[in-house]
Amino acid sequence: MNNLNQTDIMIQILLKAAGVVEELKRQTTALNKLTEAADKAKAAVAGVGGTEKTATQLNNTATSAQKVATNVEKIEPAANKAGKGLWSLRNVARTALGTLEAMAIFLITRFIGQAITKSIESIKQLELSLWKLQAAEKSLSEAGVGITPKDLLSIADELQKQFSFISDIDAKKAASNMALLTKDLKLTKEQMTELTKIAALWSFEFGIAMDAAVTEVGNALVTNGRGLKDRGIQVDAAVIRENAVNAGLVANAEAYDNLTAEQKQNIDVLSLMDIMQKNVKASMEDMNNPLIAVTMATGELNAAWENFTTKAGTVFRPALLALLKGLTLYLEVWQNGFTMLQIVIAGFVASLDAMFLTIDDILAGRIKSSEDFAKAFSKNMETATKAAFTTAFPGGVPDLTVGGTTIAGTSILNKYIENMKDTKTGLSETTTDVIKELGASAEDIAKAIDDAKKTIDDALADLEFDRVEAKIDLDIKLEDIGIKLGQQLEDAERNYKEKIVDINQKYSEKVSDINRDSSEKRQDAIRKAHEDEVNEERDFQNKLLALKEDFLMDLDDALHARDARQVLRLIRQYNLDKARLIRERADKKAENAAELAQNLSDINQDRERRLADAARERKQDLANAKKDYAEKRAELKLNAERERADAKRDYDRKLADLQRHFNEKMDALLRSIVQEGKLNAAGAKMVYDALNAYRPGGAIWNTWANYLKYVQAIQAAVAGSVPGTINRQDDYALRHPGTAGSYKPVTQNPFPYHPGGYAEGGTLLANRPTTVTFGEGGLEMARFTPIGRRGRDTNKIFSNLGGGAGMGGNLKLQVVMSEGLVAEIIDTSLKNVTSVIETVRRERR
Amino acid sequence: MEAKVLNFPDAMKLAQILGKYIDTESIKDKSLLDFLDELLKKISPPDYSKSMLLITGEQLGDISLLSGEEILNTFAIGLEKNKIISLLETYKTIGFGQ
Repeated sequence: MNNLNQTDIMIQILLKAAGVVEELKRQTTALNKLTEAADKAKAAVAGVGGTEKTATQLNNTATSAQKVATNVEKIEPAANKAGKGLWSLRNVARTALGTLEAMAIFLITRFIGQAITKSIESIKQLELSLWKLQAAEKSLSEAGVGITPKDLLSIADELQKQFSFISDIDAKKAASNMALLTKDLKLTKEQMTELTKIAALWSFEFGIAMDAAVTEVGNALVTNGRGLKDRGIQVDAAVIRENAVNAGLVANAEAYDNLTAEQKQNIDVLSLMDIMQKNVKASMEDMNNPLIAVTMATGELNAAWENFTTKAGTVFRPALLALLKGLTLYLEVWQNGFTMLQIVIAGFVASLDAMFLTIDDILAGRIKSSEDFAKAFSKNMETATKAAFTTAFPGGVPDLTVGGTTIAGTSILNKYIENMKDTKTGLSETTTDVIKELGASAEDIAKAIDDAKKTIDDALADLEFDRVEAKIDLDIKLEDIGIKLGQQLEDAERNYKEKIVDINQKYSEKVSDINRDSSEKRQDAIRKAHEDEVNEERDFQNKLLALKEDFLMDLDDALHARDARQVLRLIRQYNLDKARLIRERADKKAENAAELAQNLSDINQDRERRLADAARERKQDLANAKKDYAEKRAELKLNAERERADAKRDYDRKLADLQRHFNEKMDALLRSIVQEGKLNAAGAKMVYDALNAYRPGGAIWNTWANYLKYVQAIQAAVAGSVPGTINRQDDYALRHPGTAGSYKPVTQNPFPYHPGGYAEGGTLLANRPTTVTFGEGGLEMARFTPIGRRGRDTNKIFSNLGGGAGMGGNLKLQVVMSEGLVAEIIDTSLKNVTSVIETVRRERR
Repeated sequence: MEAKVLNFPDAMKLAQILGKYIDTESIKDKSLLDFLDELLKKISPPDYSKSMLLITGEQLGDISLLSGEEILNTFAIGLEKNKIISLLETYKTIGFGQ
C-alpha cells in the first residue's frame, strides 16, 4: 500500500511539472506567433514601400517586441535569485502578449489595408499590362512593324532577366509602352530590347519609375533627343551626327550627309541610343558595385513584393474580400464600443495570422492543390481566430446588444469563423496554378538554404583558414623582425666593441710611435752633442798643442837670442793664450750642455704634447663610437618598430579585407539566392533570416560559438582535473598559503568555467622557441610533448597519452566515492585507469 | 525549496539517472522549454522523483506538497546550477557512461 502511494506521489510530481511545461509552451507559441506576425508585417510593409510613418511605427513595434523578449530573458536570473521560480514567465508572457497585441493592432490594421489595396491593384495592373501588350501588338501590326506578342513577352522576359528589380508587370508594361511610343521608328525586336534596357538603367540612374523612364527614353528617341535636355543632356542634330561618326555608325560626316532620309533616321536612332547608353553606362557599372547593393536589394524586394502580391492577390482575393465584408459588418455595429473594438482587433490578428500561416504552409510545400489550400486556410483561420479571441477575451466573448437585439458572444465567434471559412470557396483554376507555383518555391527555398549553407560553410572555413594563416604570417613576421633586430643589435654591439679595440690599439700604437720618436730624437740630440763635444775637444787640444808648439818655437828663438824679456813675455803670453783657450773651451762646453738640455726639454715637451693629442683623439673616437652605437641601436629598434607596425597594419588590413570579401560574398550569395531562386518576398525573407542567423554574428552562430567555447573550456578543465585530483588539497594549500584546509570540494563547482582567458584549452605546436601564456583565466594545466622523433613521438600524440618529461612513469589516480555509488561506475573508471597505466608503461620501454 | 549544487558522487548519480534520457548532442539547439518538455515526456516517474530528491535533498512527501510550477522551477534551477550538459559530457568523457 505504501509502495502504491509512493508511486502515486511520484506520478503526481511528474504530472504537475509536465503540466506546467505544456502550459508554458502554449503561451510561448502564442507569443511567438504574434511576434512573427509583427515581423512579417514589418518586412512586408517595408517591401510595399509604405509611408515613412507606418514603417516607423512598425519599427517601434518590433523594438517593443524586442524589449519584451529582453525583459523575459531578464526574468530568469532574477527569478533564480529570488528562488520564486522562473516560471512566473507565464505571467510575463501574458502581459507581453497583451501589450504587444495592443501596440501592433493598429499598425497591422493599416498593413492589411495596404496589402489588400496593393494586391488588388497588382491584379489590375497585371491585367492592364497584358491588355496593353495585345493593344501594342495590334498597333504595331497596323503600323507595319513585324513584332508579335511573343516577341513583346520575350522583350519583357529579357528585361526582367537582366534587371531583377523590375517586376513582371513593369516589364510587360515597359515592352508594350515602348513599342507603342516608337512604332513610327519601325524598330527591330533587338533594338526594342536594347531600348527597354536603356529605360531600365534610366530608371535606376535617375531614380524614377519604370513607366516614366520608358516614356522619357521613347519620347527622346522620337523627338531627336529634345526630351533629354531635362536630364542635363544637350543633344541636337550636330551632336547626333558627330556621335554617329565617333561611334563608327557611319564612315565620316560626308557619308552621313549622303544618307537617304530613311537611312539617316535609322542612324539617328542608333546614335541617340548610343548617347543615352553612354549616359547610363556608369549605372550599369554601378550595378556590380557592392556599395549600392542596398539600393539594388530594395529594388529587388519591391519587385519581389509586387510579384508576390500579384500572386497572393489572386490566391487570397476571396479571403481578402471576405475580410473586407467582415470589417464592414463589424464597423456597422461600432456602437458596442470597446468590446467591438476588441472583436475587430482579434479578427484582424486572426486573419493576418491565418493568412501568414497559410503562406508558410505554401512555402513549406504542405499545400499542393486547391483542396489543400482550402483545408489549410480554413484550419488556420479557425485556430488563429480561437487563439486570438481567447487571448482578447480570456473569459469568453461577451454578449452584445445591437439595435435592441442581444447577440450571444459564442455566436459572434462562430459567425466570424464561419464567415472566414467561406473564403475557401471560389478558388479558380488560375488560383490552383498560382498555388502550385508558390508551392514549388518551397523546394527552391530549401535547396537555396542548403546550397547557401554549404557555400557559407566553405566561405567560413576559408575565412577562418585565411585568418589563422594571416595570424601565423603576422606571428612569423613579428618573430622574424625580433630575430632580425636581435641579430642587428648583436652586429652593432660587435662592431662597437671592435671599434673600441681599434681605437685603443690605434692609440697604443700612436703612443708607442711618439715615445719611440721622442727617444730617437733624444738619442740623436745626445749623440750630436757628444760628437760636437768630441770635435770641439779635439779642436781645443789641437789649439792647445799649436799654442804650445808656437810658444816653444818662440821660446827657443828667444833663448837663442838670450832675450830674457822676450822669454818672460812669451811665457806670460803663452799662459794667457792657454788660459783664454781653456776658458773658451769651458764656455763652449757649458753652452753645449745648455743646448743639449734645451733640445732634450723640447723633445720631451713635444712628446707630452703629442701624447696629450693622442689621448684626446682617443677619447673623442671612443665618444663618437659610443654615440654611433647608441644611434645605431635606436635606429634599428625604430626600424623594427616600424616593421612591426607595418606588419600589424598589413595584418589588420588583411583581416578587414578578408571580412569585407566575406561579407561581399555573403551579400552576393544572398542576392543571388533571391534572384536565382526566383523567391517571392516572404520566401526571400525566410532564406535571408535563416542564413543571417547562421552567419558569424547571427543568433545561431553566436550561440554555437559560445557553446563551443564553453565545451572546450569544460574539456580542458576536465583534462586538467585528472592529475589534479591526486593532491588537490595540497595543491590548493600550496597556491594559497595560510589557507590550508579551507578548500571545500563538496560545495565547489568541480568544473569552473572562466571565460575571457586566452588559454582555454587546446593544443599548440611549435617548431621554435615560443612564449605561451596560460592559467590567466583560472586553473589550467600545460603538458609539453616532443614530437621531433618520427614514429615514437607522433604515436604519443595520437594515442592521447601526452608523455614527455615529468610523467615519472606512473599515474596515481585517487577517486573518492560514496557508499551509494554503483559498482559499475567504479569498474568502468578503474578499467580506464588501468588502460592509462598500461599504455604509459608501454610507451616508456 | 532550494536546488543544491551537488557533490561529485551525487552529481554522478544525477548524470547516471538523466543520462538515459538526455542526448547532449541533440539538445544543443533546443530551447529550455522544448528540452524540458521532451525530458518530462520520456522520464519515468521514479527517475524524476530520484532526480528531485538528489537536487533538493528533501523528502518525497515534502516535494509532493509543492505546486507544479515550484517543482519544475526547482528542477530546472537544479539542472542549471549543476551544469547538466557539461556534467553529462564529463560523465561520458571520464568513461562512466560507457
